[in-house]
Amino acid sequence: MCCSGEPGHPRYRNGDPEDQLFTEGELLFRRYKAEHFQNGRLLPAAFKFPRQSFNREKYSRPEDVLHSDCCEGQKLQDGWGVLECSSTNLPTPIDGHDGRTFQFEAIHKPLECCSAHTEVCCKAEGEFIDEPSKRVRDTFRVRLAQRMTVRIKASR
Amino acid sequence: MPAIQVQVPPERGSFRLDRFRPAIHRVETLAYNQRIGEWLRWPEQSNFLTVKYGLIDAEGALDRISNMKRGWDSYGAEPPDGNAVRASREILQELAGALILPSTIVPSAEGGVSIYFMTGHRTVYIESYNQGSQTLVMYDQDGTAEVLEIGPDISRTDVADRILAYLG
Repeated sequence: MCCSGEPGHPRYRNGDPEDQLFTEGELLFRRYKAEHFQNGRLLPAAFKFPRQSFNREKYSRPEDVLHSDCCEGQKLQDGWGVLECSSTNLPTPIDGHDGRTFQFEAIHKPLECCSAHTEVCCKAEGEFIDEPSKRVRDTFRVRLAQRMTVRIKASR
Repeated sequence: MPAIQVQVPPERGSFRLDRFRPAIHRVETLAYNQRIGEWLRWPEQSNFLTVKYGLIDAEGALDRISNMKRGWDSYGAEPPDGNAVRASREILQELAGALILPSTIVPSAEGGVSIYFMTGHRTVYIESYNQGSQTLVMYDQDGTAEVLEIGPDISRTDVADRILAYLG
């Protein structure tokens, strides 16, 4: 995919390495659809599991997540906003009730046209786990939704 | 000396209800009786109409959701498929029978349909996935969540009672 090259575009990778150092309180940004914010609450339906995508604050402005370079080339219309949460205050750990405890952490995964791209990954005993039980998946989605706050309100 | 005329009140007869009968008959028209009958049946009809219009709204939401494209959430989510929409419609009809109507119905980034029921501090959702399974999730503002798979963990016929008990 070609990057837009538009003035003010999000930071491109340009060969930069991954940077896994997240300072205390560094924010993560994510776009949301207006319909997923109801009665002052973000709905867990806004998140898939696993590996939810975010932009990290160190390499991104909040509005960058709405730019086509960070949306696989999609030009978003009205009805989108931006959420934020702290990368060091994710809802972790979560007890799997199967003897395992699941940890969640931000991993920097820069894309060519969106250097700030970051994923929140699930681990147990040091291994990446993409399909824990439904109990773990939905408990995480619920708690993540509760930690996210609106940075840029979605127009309806 | 003139005689004193004493004013004697007219004799009071017994209360005669039949004096009002013509007036009562005048308002007891057919329309009046129908109106009273409707009024007495109002709570029942009100529930019926609430459920009816609630299901019409839900059907509209499901129609809209069933026409979504791949990547509708801009993060590559699958659109809800026919299985998820059908399962959602069925459970909505069952819940409507218990007078439970959704607060909102949205597509899920997991690939499926999410039906939400909300009160002040508590939320319940039922997620119907494209693969065919359904999950009931109940959570409060502290993030205490109970996750039940419909079928293995809770029978579908018990879902309505469980929601009512949780939301109060």
